[in-house]
Amino acid sequence: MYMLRRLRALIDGNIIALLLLIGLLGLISFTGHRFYMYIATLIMIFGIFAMGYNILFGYAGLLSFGHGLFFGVGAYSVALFTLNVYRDPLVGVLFSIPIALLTSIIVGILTLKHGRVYFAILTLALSMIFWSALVKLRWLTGGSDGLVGIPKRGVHVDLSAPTVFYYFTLVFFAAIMLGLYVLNKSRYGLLLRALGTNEDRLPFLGYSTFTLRMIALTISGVVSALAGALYAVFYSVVTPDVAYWTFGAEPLVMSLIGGSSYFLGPLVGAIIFVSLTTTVARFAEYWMFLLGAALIAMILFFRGGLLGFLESLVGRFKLGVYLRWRF
Amino acid sequence: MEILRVENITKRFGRFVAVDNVSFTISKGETVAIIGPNGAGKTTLVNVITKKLEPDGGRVFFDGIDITRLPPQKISRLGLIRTFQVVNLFPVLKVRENLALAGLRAGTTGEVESVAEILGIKRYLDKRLVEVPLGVQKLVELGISLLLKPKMLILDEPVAGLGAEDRFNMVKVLSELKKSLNLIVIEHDMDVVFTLVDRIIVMDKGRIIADGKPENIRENKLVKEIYLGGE
Repeated sequence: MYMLRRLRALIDGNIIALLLLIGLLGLISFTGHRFYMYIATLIMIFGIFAMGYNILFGYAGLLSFGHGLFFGVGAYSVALFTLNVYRDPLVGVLFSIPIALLTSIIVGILTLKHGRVYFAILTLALSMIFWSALVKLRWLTGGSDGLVGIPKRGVHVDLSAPTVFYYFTLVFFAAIMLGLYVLNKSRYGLLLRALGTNEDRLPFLGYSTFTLRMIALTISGVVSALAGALYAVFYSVVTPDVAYWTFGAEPLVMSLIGGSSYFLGPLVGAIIFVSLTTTVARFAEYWMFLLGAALIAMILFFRGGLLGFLESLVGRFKLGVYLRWRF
Repeated sequence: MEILRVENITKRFGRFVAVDNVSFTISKGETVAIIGPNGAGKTTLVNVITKKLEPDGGRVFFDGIDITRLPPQKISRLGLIRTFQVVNLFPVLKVRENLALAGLRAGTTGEVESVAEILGIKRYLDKRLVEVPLGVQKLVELGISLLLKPKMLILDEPVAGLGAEDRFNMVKVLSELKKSLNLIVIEHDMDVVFTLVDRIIVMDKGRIIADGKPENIRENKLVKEIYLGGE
């Protein structure tokens, strides 16, 4: 009975939408269409990246310009590990987890004691130091050429067939999304939302804001690094570009497009962003201009992102409440 | 037996001395009001005691422990809990979630419903804080404080801004609470003060100008002049 009550408390519109999306992504593999699978894989990878980023941005209220660092740590961990230590993509992706954890803790110690503006600048600075190191440490990272030949076929798994790699990504995607959903529903989810809402009040309830921020950064860093690890295996190559600050700002754009106040907002943003970059960008020469204009319009008129806009449309039918986690 | 001892606390903002060498002791079981005109330094004093502000001098002991250098979360965990003059909670979270934040910290999540029942706010539990009236928000703030299992509760203007009915409810709840809790109330409403407390500390220009039983304070000439308008 208790378990049934707990299970019922876990079910809402977000999980239904998430399960439908996972199901839809599963079906895409049956089409056998390479281009659709390519886009869907990128959506999953950047969806993981954006959802991880939003733990810090949307939940804890901390703006990071340095998430390229975590993505890059994940990508380079799997590359260096599989090329030099153990030739297996699955073990390589898993190896990126403790490395990202350690990186997140170090970044947290250096940045989290400071105000929000300083946090944003410090993360940007750390990301740029990391990017410079990737470019300069040629003997280790391959410099600006990066590392090539990251294996899809390893000791334990063979991901060289596109469909197999697709399912491999889908398993990680589903596990991470469901994990984040449970986090959102858990006591830590509530604490992280409280942190983003009124950080100054929490110490008077007995909570250390530094510890809560550290939890948020660690989860965000590890999830972002997993996205980077999958990205590296997907392309079999990794270059310092993934650690550059403009790349690290992409999940911010995705979160804003989808709606950073909504649990699924960043994922919706990732779907739109990836779809646009892989389709419209091919035809529209000035697509970055269009993206910039769309962002300005979004921030000026639809601050809640696409989900916020949809909610305002369907609000009268009370449908939006099933989608939102925060408002 | 003392629960709170404030020794020579001073707080300056530039040249302005907001709290000037203030000392007092509160015994277990006492209900105390700190009163004074606007700008007397009452809230600043509480901010220093609970470490929202760092003192420029002096020390604070709570339940025998020197808390002067402790961060606010540690002071809260020792059982010294405060509310704020202006409701300072989590407006976009539901009332239930606001209360649960305290419950999760103190292991009292199971008491959320019963505390809401006692405070008369149970029907608001699933509304967002921002959607409920100010009186309810103040009761939520009180509920959070209770769920934290305080040894001492400092309430900064608990009835400020409340209508007659909410004010009546709040006084009723506080009258019950004072039987089991050490309360410090900062309040301008003299009816509330004289109804609730055993002792009144009067501040003016950052200093304590009177300290005693309500009946004595009521007759104090200096207090009458400065604060009670010479009635």
